This record gives sequence, C-alpha cells and structure tokens, in this order.
Amino acid sequence: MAETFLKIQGLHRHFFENRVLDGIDLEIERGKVTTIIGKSGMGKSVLLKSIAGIVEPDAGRIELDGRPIGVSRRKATAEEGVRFSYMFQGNALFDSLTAYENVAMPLRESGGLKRSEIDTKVRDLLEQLDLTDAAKRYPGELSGGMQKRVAFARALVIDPDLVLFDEPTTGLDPERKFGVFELIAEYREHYGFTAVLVSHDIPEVFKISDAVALLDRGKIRFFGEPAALEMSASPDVIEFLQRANVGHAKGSKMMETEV
Amino acid sequence: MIRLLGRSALSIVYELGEITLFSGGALFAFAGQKRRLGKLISALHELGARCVPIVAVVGLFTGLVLGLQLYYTLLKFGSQGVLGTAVSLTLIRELGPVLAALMIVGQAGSALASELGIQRNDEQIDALQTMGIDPKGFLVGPRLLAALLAFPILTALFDLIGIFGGYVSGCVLLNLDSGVYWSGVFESVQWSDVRGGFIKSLAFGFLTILICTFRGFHTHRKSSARGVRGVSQSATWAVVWSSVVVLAADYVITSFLI
Repeated sequence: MAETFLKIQGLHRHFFENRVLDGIDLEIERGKVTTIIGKSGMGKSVLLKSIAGIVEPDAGRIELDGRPIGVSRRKATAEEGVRFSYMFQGNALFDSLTAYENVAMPLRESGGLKRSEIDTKVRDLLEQLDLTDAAKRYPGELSGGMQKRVAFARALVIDPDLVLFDEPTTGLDPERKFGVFELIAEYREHYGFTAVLVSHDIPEVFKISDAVALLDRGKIRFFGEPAALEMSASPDVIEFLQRANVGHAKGSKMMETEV
Repeated sequence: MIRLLGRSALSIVYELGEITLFSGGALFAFAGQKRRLGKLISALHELGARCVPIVAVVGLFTGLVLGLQLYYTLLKFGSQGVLGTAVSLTLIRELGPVLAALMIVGQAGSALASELGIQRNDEQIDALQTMGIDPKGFLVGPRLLAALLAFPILTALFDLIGIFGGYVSGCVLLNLDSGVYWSGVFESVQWSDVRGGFIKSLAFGFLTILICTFRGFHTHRKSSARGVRGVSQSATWAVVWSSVVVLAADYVITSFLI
C-alpha cells in the first residue's frame, strides 16, 4: 500500500466574506501524480499556494512526510531534508536573468554546491530538456513552450521530493499541452517526485494522473482515480464533468433518460 | 468625524509600524543571503552609476542659475565678492542633498517601485519564497544599503558640479575674479556644513528607497487597481511621497543641525 506523503487536515482560508477553502482534507501518496480540478475561482490555486506557504491558511494542518509544516515552511522543510518546487501558471521567470541563470538560481542562492557542480547540473538539465541553445537567452526571447520548459527545469534542479504545478499548460496550444503533460509524467518517473497539479485540461490531464481531487465550494467533493471519477454517481461530479464536456457514464444515461 | 480621525491615525501608525518592520526584515534577511557583494554592486549600479548623468546635469544648471541670481542680488549690496561663499553653502547645506535626492527618486525610485510591482504581479516574488529565498533580503536589502552609499556620493558630485556651475556663471560669464570666488568657497565651507549635507543625504537615501521598495513590494495590497494600473499607481505614489518626505525630513534635520 502506498504511503501518504502530503496530508492536509481541516484547511480553511477565506478572503473577505468568501470562504475559499472550507475544511479541506486530503491525503496525497508518495510518488504519485494528484490533480486538483474544479471550476474557476473555486480555490485550487489557493490550496496549492497554501501547501507552498505563499498563502497562510486561517486554520488547518499540513503534514509533509509525517511532519507538520508551519509559516516558514519552505525553509523548515529544506532543513528537514524535504525539498519542494512550485511551477507557476505564468512561469514566474526573472526577465533580467538568462534561462541558464533562472535555472541555476535556486542552487546559487542555497549555497550548498560549488560553482562547477552547479554548472554541470544546470547544463545537464538544460540538455535533457532540449534547452541548450536557449541557455543564454532571456525569457522574453523564448517561446511560451520554451519558457515552460525553463520553469520546469528550475523546478527540477533542486531534485525535489514534491513539485506543485499551478496550471502548467496555460497559454499553450493542444500539441504543446500534451508535450508538457508527457514531460511531467516522464520526469516524475525518472526522478520519483510526488506531483500535485492544478489543471483545467480535462480529460487530457487524467492520462498522467494517479488520483484526482474535485474541489467545489470550498470542499473536496471527490477524491479517487480518474476512472472512478468518470463513473461517480455524485451530482457534483456529474455536473462538473458535463460542464467540462467530458463523457460521464451515469451522466450520459441520465441525459438520455431525460430526453 | 472623530471616528474617521481616529481610524486615519491608527492607519498611519499601523503603516509606520509595517514599514519599520519591512526595513528591519529586509536588512536582517540580506545579512543571511549568499553572494551579498554581487547584489550590493548590482544595486549600486542601479541607484548610483545610472543616476550620475542626471545628477551631473541638474547640478550644473543649479549652480549656473544660483551663480547668476546671487551675483545680481549681491551686486545691489556691492558684495558680489561673497558669491563663492553663497553658492557653496547653499549647495552643500540645502540644495545639494535635496535636489540630488529628488533626481535619484525620479530616475531610480520610480523604476524600482515599478520593477517590484511587476515582479509581484508576475509572481516572481512568490517564486523566490518557494525557492527558500527571502524576497525582502534578495530584492530590498541590497537596495537599502546601496542607497546609503550612493546618495552621499551623488550628493557630493552634485555639490562639486554645482559649485563649478556657480564659477562659470560668476567668473567666466560675469567676469568676477576667480581667486575671489574660490577663496570664498574654501574659506567659508566648514566640516560641519559637509557633515550636515552628508547626514541629510543618508537620511533621504534610506527613506526614499524604503518608500519606493515598500510600495512596489506591496503593489497587490496597496493599490486600488490591479495589473498594469496597479503598478503605475505604485510608481506614482512612491515618487510623490518620497519627494514629500525629502522636503519634510529636510526641515526636521535642518532644525536639529542649526
């Protein structure tokens, strides 16, 4: 049986009158890809940012590898030997730094490796991701797909145990979206990290997902395998999948009966 | 009415507390960063070297105008011989620190507030946080320290070029004896005048760059508009309030120094 790597209990977060997260309970298994889906504005990114420590929850507990993590969670987790990365929706690359410098940044600033070791590691990763020619170019000089790969390389350079992906395919055409999903699946297999994705690309994202969590009105309405989601009898799931134009076994039958 | 006043007062106190913690946090976090010297040099280039042309040009014209105005004013009393004294003391005590600070705010402060605002909107500041890099230490700390070095140097440059401008007006254009001008400069300027200008430039540098970085860093919370308009609001607010603070602080410091 797979081991729980990330455990979220009773997570609450509100913005003014809006309860975005209203008691989230979630257990994510080690080495698996878990995708958080839901309608826009339902708090998927807030949940991801709460895990990363960018948004401070009002209440609740987050445990990473069995240890509760608090306010300065990024630093605390690093000290405890758990490394995690965050890939932002808009990539969040530094415009004034080259692709190479962007990728090298987490290593340079952590100060754990020698300059030559950093150089070797960054060049290897850029080569693996077919970015060697882009190393000296600035983000503004790269295509959207290349920028995604640079952001992905920056996320991978620290050998993370957990990678959080916030809508990693935003702004890409269908072919490139598929490429990004393949990249995530391939590197997760290679490096063995645990991945948590927020995505709107349904059902494409199901191909690489081991588990899916449906977030709606502040709560997790479904958690399980993608196949189970498509078979679920939950009205929330049926409504969501129909809105997302995804074939749903029970939903389709209900529609046929209504007709 | 009383409630409104109370709320405003509390808000100002809260803001002052927040900005104090922000500056302390930035300097403290910078002390724990890697590659501090490189970041400091880069910030010095941004706040110092890039501002040299504008400070030099404004310093020259200020000196030229000052020389011209004071020459004819002093001529009425037959005391144009003290032109060197008047120009140098006016520049070193008052105009140098104030005008140099206003020029640096216009050139570098607005750019700083905009840059940080864009970095906030593009989630680059959040990205630093997720990488375990303290954003305040990384982005703000080196700039605050660079301001403490760059402002006095640029003020000294402004003063020197301004005094030279006064010489051009008074001696080259209006035929005042250059020996009289320079002896007035060297005999009247005391160490206490230079120290006063130095104290002012240090204070202006720290306060203005703190205001600009604070506002840019908190663009998402402090602006009423989002996106590009939020960034432009931040830049405008930062420049306006930095300029007001320079003039207010000038009065306060002068009243202590006199």
